[in-house]
Amino acid sequence: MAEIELPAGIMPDYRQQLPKFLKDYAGRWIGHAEVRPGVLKHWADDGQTCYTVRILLPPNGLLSAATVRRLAGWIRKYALTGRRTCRQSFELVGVAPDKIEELIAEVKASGLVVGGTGATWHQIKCCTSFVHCQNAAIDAPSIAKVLSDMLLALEEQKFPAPLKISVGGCPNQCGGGTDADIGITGVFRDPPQVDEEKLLAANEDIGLLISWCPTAAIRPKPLPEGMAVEINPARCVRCSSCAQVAPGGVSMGRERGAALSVGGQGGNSRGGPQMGAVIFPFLPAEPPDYALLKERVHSIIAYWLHEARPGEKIGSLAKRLGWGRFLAGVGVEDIESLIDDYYPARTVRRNLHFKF
Amino acid sequence: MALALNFTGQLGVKGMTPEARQKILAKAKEQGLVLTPDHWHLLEISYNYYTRHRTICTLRMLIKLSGLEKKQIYRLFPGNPIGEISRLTGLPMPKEC
Amino acid sequence: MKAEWQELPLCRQLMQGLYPSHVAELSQTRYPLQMYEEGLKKGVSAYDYGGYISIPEIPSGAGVRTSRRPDILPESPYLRVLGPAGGWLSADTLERLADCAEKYGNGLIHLANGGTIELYAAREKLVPLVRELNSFGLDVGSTGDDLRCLTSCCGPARCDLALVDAPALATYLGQRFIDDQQYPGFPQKCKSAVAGCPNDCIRAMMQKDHSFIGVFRDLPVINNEEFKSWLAEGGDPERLVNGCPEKALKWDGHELFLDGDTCVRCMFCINNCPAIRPGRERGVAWVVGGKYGHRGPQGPMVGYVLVPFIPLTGEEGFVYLGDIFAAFLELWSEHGRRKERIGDFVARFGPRRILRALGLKAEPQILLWPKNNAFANKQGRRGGEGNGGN
Repeated sequence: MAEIELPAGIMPDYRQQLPKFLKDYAGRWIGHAEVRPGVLKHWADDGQTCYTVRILLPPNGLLSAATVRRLAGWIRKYALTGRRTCRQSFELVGVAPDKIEELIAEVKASGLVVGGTGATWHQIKCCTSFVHCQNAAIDAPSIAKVLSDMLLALEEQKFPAPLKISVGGCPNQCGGGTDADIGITGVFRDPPQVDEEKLLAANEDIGLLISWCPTAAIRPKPLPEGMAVEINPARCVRCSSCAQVAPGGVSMGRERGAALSVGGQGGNSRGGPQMGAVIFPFLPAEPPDYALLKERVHSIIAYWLHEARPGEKIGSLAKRLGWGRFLAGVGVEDIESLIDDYYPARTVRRNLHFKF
Repeated sequence: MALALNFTGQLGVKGMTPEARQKILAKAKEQGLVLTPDHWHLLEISYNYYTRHRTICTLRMLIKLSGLEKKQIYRLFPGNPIGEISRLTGLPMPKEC
Repeated sequence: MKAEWQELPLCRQLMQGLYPSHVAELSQTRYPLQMYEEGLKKGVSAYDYGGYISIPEIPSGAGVRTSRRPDILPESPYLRVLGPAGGWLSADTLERLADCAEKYGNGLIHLANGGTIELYAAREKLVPLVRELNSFGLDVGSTGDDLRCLTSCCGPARCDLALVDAPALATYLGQRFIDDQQYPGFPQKCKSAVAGCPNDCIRAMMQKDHSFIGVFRDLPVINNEEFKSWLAEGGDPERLVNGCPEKALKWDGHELFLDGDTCVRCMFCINNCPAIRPGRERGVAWVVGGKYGHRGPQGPMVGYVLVPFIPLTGEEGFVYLGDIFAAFLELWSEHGRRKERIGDFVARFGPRRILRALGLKAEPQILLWPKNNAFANKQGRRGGEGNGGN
């Protein structure tokens, strides 16, 4: 048998992407500041500086070869190297200070946006959804696009604190959601449906189908033709794992929408990492306008801008005011649906410290 | 001869039926594969594991039960070993993302 | 001739608006926009559950989506390129990726969330595409139940807060565990990252199954001379003192003091005042189990801190961290259930058993508080610690 050519086994070396200047100054930077929206300045122990210009990219980091070449061209003309951020924006690093104005003008003229630094809205992070994924309940990129349009149109771009919005198209949250000040997650309302005939014909891994269900809602169902399963809708939490294991016979229902959470944040500054709190468990998400979703996000931001103290993120605001007042302020009426049936200890109070 | 290799295994289940072997041989022939004793060893383990547990044998379990190293298995069934084994045995295909 | 998007009402609408449009990008490539339009119109993706792909030369890194509209697009194979740590991408690399995307693929380059770069090309083009990527130092992986692409923050090359060389550590781990990235064989995927400081800009503690986070053990250092110039430039001492979550800072109108017994080293003051710098005694915290996904009994979760501080001064310390990672991956592979993410595994198996199995000491800093019950601790099925059954 011919020897197969196996993978090359290369972990890319990031040093190849760095100019000598950044390698020389590695570890010597002692401070940084936002000098204007989208522009960061780092300074070193000897007074040397490094300017970074952050560019907000189209949703989901989906780029045409032409746009990628444009980014490369800007690096060649104005900067030393580039980097993708974990929020799907792009940074030009080592921009000559006297070229910043010209660069920003050129970026704007191309239709891209300079921004997403400091106390304003950052690039909306999202997953790929209907562009290239089968799991999505809703389409995250178009939601990110519509919300970004809305945010860009706001007259006031200076916020009390950074605002990060993440949109994940399904409960698997590849695009994030729970990590963000405002998180949007695609959810399925109906329990998954089993098509017994298709399931048997598809020859799926029934053992895994049963064992992966986190709530033991799936049980084997012996039929004369073979082994099928039945799903107990009362136990099912709509995580969609079963549809992933056995797409040939299990499918998620047609009724899909968005769960909206607030107050998530990563990082350990202040209170430490905090997962988002779901305040609207199910909102219709109709493309391409997403009218209701947009309205909800807008009212949360408006309330935050109005109530927050300087530096206060949405989660900190809710904590200071008390969730009761915060929920009333952003128009949440259905409190019952916010109780965690699954893990009561996480959300139901066990002391008598009330705010009325 | 490859067919003579009879896996009795740690699982204590009966090996493949001659019919199952013939089917596998036919599929292998279709795909132009020559099955060595090592191939049969892995096919039998996987087949018997499924018979007993009703779920496909993971690569980890295959390594443990066969005594072969991971890369050896990747050489015997290149690309996606679990999938390639299922394609021959007719067991459920793994779903990846 | 009209462009494709002009015939597609939903795509057309998404081309408009102030913000750059993903549809505009797609329309400049050979991506079939009809597939996207179809998804938007029906509310169900036109792509179907992952089809089967097995390419001998690419055990991990290639995948395929099947199609619900084969008349538009029969299937969509893709390649996941391991991204350089820190997200660093030079002009050269970007241009070569653009060339590759056009020469072999549909012209689309996707900076995907996991830190990979996805390219879309027909099955028969994938191996030549990988070979060309190899020629400029890139490779593929990150599909299936494997170690996913190692990522990190930008690190000390550009950041003043990096306590450890995050991209260097991520690259070391990536190279050491390259076989685990390129030959799937775990119970489930394992996402891993290195963050340079507790700010964890890359959200490793939440998004990643396994992470090392740069930390310092001594106290933040206040330079009162610099603090005075910060005040002179309009710095607000009240906001700084009030913002400290532990109220560890005191400002007497002249000098700033830190109560070292109260400080939790959270970075708040350091982030908000350039006169305060991280301490010098640096290392990493070891965190496992983070995930955004709602799969598995624990749902989305922040990872557990299993070791608060492992000293790390330079690259010589990387080997020990790699040893811990290797031992942990082995333990999870041995005891993890099929499709069990690490967060669910830790919750089920027990953090204490994991520490014992790896020979690590339980440090008091990992406790929020001691347990509130007197139940006996979890043991293996045969009574063993960290070995035996589940």
